[in-house]
Formats: sequence, structure tokens, C-alpha cells
Amino acid sequence: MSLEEKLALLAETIETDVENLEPDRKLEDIQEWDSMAKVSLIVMLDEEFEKEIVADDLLKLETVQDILDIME
Amino acid sequence: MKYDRIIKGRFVDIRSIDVEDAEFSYDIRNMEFARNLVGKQVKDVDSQRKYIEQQLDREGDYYFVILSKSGKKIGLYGIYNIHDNIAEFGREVSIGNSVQAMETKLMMLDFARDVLGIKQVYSVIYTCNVKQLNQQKRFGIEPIGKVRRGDDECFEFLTDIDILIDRNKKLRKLLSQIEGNDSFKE
Repeated sequence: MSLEEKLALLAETIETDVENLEPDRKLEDIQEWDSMAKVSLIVMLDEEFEKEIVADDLLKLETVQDILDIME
Repeated sequence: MKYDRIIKGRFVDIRSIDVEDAEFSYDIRNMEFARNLVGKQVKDVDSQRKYIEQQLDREGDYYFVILSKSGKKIGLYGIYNIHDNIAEFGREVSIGNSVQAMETKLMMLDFARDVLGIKQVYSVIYTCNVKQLNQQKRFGIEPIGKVRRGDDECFEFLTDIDILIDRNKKLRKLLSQIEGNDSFKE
């Protein structure tokens, strides 16, 4: 999956615009990054990448790049 | 008022608060992150105990402790000021994870509608609580006005409970999809 495809999927998942997802952007600075977005992300990573995120992993996510790194 | 049953969920269980929870509720409400989420703080644990005693006797006032599935106390939630099938939702504070926080909200909506017969939910959100305000906006829920709580200004919302439950259908589905992920139950 290309970077553009990953960003499009991530944008759809957390219901934000791709323009908000610069890799170094802090997640806390993204308006749509709320509990609902986090739950949606957990499901997307499981379904699309077979990555099971545990609660502690979620706490470690700081930037968009941190999520992109999991989307492998 | 006390609800005698434990409300069981996938990631949390919820039970009525008790005077023995005074220290926990005092501590969690005084955590730094909670100060902009909950109302006025009492001065010490004894005052919190008295507050809970009075709350338990108060008609139309339910105050809950949120428990992880391992039994750890992780939060508080209130349904109160119940009149004419309207209830205020609030006093929410949680140190649990996002999944637990979202399931708590769903369970409280279900409890209010199915057990208490609530038709509309009144809530206030502090104007500085941007995340929660954004979530309301995403759900298409507009404030009906502004109100002051202590020194702070809040937006107030009054929404049909069926609309809230309907807007959370996606969330309910998402939670069922990650039910097997035990890390969110601790």
C-alpha cells in the first residue's frame, strides 16, 4: 500500500481530511482525534493489517507517522 | 438513589457508587485532567463521603462507579436531575482507555432509556472541552444555549435519547468487533 493510500485510509477511518495528516502532525492537534477515532483505528488496523493494538500501544501514539509505521 | 444491580458490559462493569468509594471519587475528581471536566470539588474525602450519602438519598439522581473487567475502579458517571423523562448526563471522569470510555457512554444511554424510561438527555460541556464539543458536532448535535457552572461557561445540549443511541450505532458495531481484545478490559 502506497503512502497516499495509507493516508486516504487513515483519513477515512478517523473521519478527517487527508490534508490534516502530515506525518509529523501531533495526533492531539487533529480535531477529529477523539475516542471514537481511536476505536475506529483499532478496528481498521485489525481488519486491514491484521495488527492487534493493545491499550498501551494506543497511549504511545503521538504523531500521524506513528500510525503509518503500524500500517505495514 | 441506588441501583442494586451491576450493569455488565464487554469492557466495563458499572455499579452504583457507595460511601466506601469516597476516597476514589475524591482522588479521581481532583486529578489534573479532570478539573475541566467535572464541577466544583469538595474540600476533602470526608466531604466527599457526605456528598455520596446525600446523593444516595436524592430522588432522580444516580451516580455510578465504572469498573474494568478486572474489577479496578476507573471512573465515575452520573445520571441526575431526572424529571419529566429528561435526565442530565455528566459528572463523567475516567482513567480508563478510550474503548472503556465509549462503552460506558453507550451503557449509560441504554440504562437511561431502558430502565429509567428517559426520553431526552440534557448535558453541558465546558467551552474549553474542545474534544467533546467536536464529538457532539460530528454527531450533528447542536447546543441549545450557554450556561454558567461556577466560574466557567458551558454549552448546553438537549437531545432525544433515541437520536443519541442511533448516532452511536457505528460505535456499538466497532466495540463488538474488538470484543476479543482483552487489553481494553483491564
